[in-house]
Amino acid sequence: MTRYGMVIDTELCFGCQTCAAACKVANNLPKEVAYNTVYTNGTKAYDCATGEFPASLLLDFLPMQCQHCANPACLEVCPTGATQQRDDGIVVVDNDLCIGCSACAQACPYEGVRTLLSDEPSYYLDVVVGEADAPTHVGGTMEKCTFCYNLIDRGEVPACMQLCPGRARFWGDLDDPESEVSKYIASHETHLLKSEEGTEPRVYYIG
Amino acid sequence: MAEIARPCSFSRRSFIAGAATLTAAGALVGCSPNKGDKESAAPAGGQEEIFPGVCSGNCFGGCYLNVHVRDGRVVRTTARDLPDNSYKRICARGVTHVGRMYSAKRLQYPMRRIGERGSGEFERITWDEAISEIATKWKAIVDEHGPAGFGIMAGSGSYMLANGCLFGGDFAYRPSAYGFLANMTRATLIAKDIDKGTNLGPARATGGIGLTNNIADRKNAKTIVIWGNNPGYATPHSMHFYTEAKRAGAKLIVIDPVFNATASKADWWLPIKAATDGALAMGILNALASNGWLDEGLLRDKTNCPFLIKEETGTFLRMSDLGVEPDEDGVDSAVVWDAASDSAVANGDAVDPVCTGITEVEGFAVRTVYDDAMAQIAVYTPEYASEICGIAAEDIVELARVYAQEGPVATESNLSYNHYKNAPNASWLKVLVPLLTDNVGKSGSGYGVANAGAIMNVVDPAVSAPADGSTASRGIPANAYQLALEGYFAEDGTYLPEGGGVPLKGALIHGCNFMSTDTDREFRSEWVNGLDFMATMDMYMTETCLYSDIVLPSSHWFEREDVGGVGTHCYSFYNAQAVEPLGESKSDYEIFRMIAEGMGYGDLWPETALDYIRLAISDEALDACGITFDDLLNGAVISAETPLVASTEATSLEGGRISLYNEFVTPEYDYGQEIDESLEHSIQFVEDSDMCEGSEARQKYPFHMMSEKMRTHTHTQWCDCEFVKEYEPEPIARFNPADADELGIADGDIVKLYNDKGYVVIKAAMSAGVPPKTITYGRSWNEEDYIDGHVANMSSKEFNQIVRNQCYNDVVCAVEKA
Repeated sequence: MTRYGMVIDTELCFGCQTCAAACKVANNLPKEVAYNTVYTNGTKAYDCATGEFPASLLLDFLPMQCQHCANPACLEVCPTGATQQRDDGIVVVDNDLCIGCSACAQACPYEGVRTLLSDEPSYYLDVVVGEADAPTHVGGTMEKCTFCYNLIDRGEVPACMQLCPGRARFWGDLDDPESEVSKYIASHETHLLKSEEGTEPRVYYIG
Repeated sequence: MAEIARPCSFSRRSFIAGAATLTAAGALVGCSPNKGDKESAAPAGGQEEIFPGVCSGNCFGGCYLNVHVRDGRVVRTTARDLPDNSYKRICARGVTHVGRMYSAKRLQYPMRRIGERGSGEFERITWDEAISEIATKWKAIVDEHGPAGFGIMAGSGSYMLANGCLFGGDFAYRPSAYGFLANMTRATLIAKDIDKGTNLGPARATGGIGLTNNIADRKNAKTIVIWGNNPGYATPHSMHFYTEAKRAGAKLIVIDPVFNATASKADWWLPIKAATDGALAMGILNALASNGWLDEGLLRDKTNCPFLIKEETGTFLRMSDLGVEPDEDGVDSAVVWDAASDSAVANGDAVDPVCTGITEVEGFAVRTVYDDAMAQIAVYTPEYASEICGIAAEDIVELARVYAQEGPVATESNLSYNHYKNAPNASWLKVLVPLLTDNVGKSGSGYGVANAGAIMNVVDPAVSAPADGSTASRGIPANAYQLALEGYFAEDGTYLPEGGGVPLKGALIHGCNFMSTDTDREFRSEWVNGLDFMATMDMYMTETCLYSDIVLPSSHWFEREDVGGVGTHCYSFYNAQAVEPLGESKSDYEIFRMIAEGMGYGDLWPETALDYIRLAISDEALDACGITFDDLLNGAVISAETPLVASTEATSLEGGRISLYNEFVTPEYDYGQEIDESLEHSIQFVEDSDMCEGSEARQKYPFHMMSEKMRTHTHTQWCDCEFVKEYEPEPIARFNPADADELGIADGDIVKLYNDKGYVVIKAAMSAGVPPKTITYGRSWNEEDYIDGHVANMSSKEFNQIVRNQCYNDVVCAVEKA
């Protein structure tokens, strides 16, 4: 079996937003819709340190997207079956079935990983950009990170993984001990976000 | 000219049909506006092609990209493989090129200004009208004032050979096409030499040899000191070299007034007070000397410490002073005292040169360079230096110990310190710290920032010399931009310090947006208003375009063919034309060619950019890289044989020695300024009186305004890209929360920052990483992006007395809630 997973090493992430912007373009995302954003810990303001100058300062970044949980809280609560889990573990939303009820967002312990599209999503450009098989964006449906299954199904890697300037992201098959992601997990101390929720995320964090 | 093989792109499997196509006029057709809905897109082949492209702005990235094209339109950009993928690179800007290419702000046809400068009132004109008007106005200026009356200003907008602003080598031989046009027309070349402050120190110390190792060598450092650089923002492509070195065991030290994303990665962050780096360096030198951490042998054998300074003149005692004629090569050696022979001998002849205590030689009162330097250094005890720079005395001593005992130390110094008036002095002191502790010229050490590229290794800069061979006498202008108002030019463009030349009356602006990015916007406006005519080439309607008489739409980088790319790596690349230019836009090369034709020089121009590139690139140099020109067009990269370790065996200074004393003061531009020479001979800390704590200015205007690089703009490039506004949506001023509390300002409030020169109205943000009484802000915006005013209205055009640097950071202000 293949189970896709990711490691994000926040000690190497310096908050440049390249992963977020790559995702945005690759998936032709509408205005103000992000599958993936780099948050600044402890503040809503991007890139602003917290604490006291100069003795106790903190400026850490948290790249955040759907955790593609093995036991996703969003799955059971979806009333229409729009939220689905593929055999490789990727959690997807079928926008033909989604009614935009937000039950998934309420059940999910992770904030800021999905967006309910407005009735008429708008775009920065008049032209379609991104991958030819990027997700469609249907008004009134819920969207989130797809792990770029369109790309991985043809042997590529998700857009956010194509090049992280900080070399902070690692990807691959968790069931393959020789994959980059498995080897990184084996050699580093990782943790899961809100592991107490029992959702068993497939995105591992370091730092 | 031989036929040149066109490059191949390669296809990428693609399943779903693409969408719109572009008409010749640039209108996007074939689909209703983007609905993100496959079904609304016009069915087409959907075949995706990938072309090689170069993201060529001036961020030191020089990123080699895959440009993904479907149905005649770029749809994505991704990082492209390099021979050594540790250099493989892209950033939030590089992945959002489509946002620039298809921006609503994109210029698509030539325009003529019909309202006041800056009003934004333009009319659409044809290319024929535009070129004809430029040529007519240019020729009229030449007729009245001579060729030097018209200038070509080129900034750093793109480091590409044909279309860009490549420079290097002799000033007269700027190898890009703008240099060709300037040479041909004998126009005044207007240099954007704004970053020169931090070059002077290393030049004084070593004569200007490269001191930085290849960035791939950072992993061999035991300690990395980032001092005057913020790679987390400014060169994100380089950041992983530092964090990976840290992970591998190197100690990462960051010296920066601000706790930013780079400082947050440090093992040890030293919050220095702004503009006091010279005092810190002097404190380190003091601690090195007083703890016995300076290698006396190095000082004696590798520096000019034994040289003797004549008390009367401040110049070195030379053999001619002792009655010895210069040798057959005209060399009049500096004198040193040789303990072995107990006599004064020529430098180089001494067996045992003496560094200290020599006060008289054959009737000349003298002191050694060592004694001169140590007298200055002695003042800056760690305690005293601490009072100035704000770093604790024991930390200064520890930094000195690190340099002495925890090497190899790599010192990362970029251009950030450049924009204080005291940058030249400070940079001399800074570079002496690694030089005098043996932390240059070996693996894991070095000073500066690796920034090479390979293009200049294979280009013959003389390509831009006039092809008729008869008009190469164009003078080398000084900073026309700064001085043109005074009319300091001879007819051939030669700079005349005494005045009496011709005024600059017309200008063609290429690759820069000076109205926004330079200091003292009021002065720049005056400069523009003093011109009879100004034309600007750009991709979108920048602030500078708004002040121009004619605006010419430049094509995007991926809409034209070129070679180049300069970054913190050792490569340069072929950039294919991936798609047709949008609308009526044209490549910069083609625009220059058309203007040249209008000026009557058309027959001298190679027809295409590729023809020009073919002339410029030397086959022998390519051969040394192991490739042919055809290979280059087919995706082989130009690799520079950059040594991993810089050689510092020989400085170009006297005796090959590191210098701690500067004999002669030669200003870069002599425009009649008064020069205080006492600041320029001995190593010393020079206070930045314009903004330092306790200055007169700070009494009235308590806040220091410190500009920062932005993560999502390169200067004002990407102001036209909406995607990146999701991260950095607008100009902001970051305050320390304690200051904000005192001022009654909350996060998101609108504030007015003002001083004697001007004001800006801007949104406030809070960051505890900002030092007290300081405001940090990204400067890379256009006037239209500010709520009111402009940060460039608040700075002064004043610069260092001998080197021209733009002092963006010598700005203070008061704050009120708007």
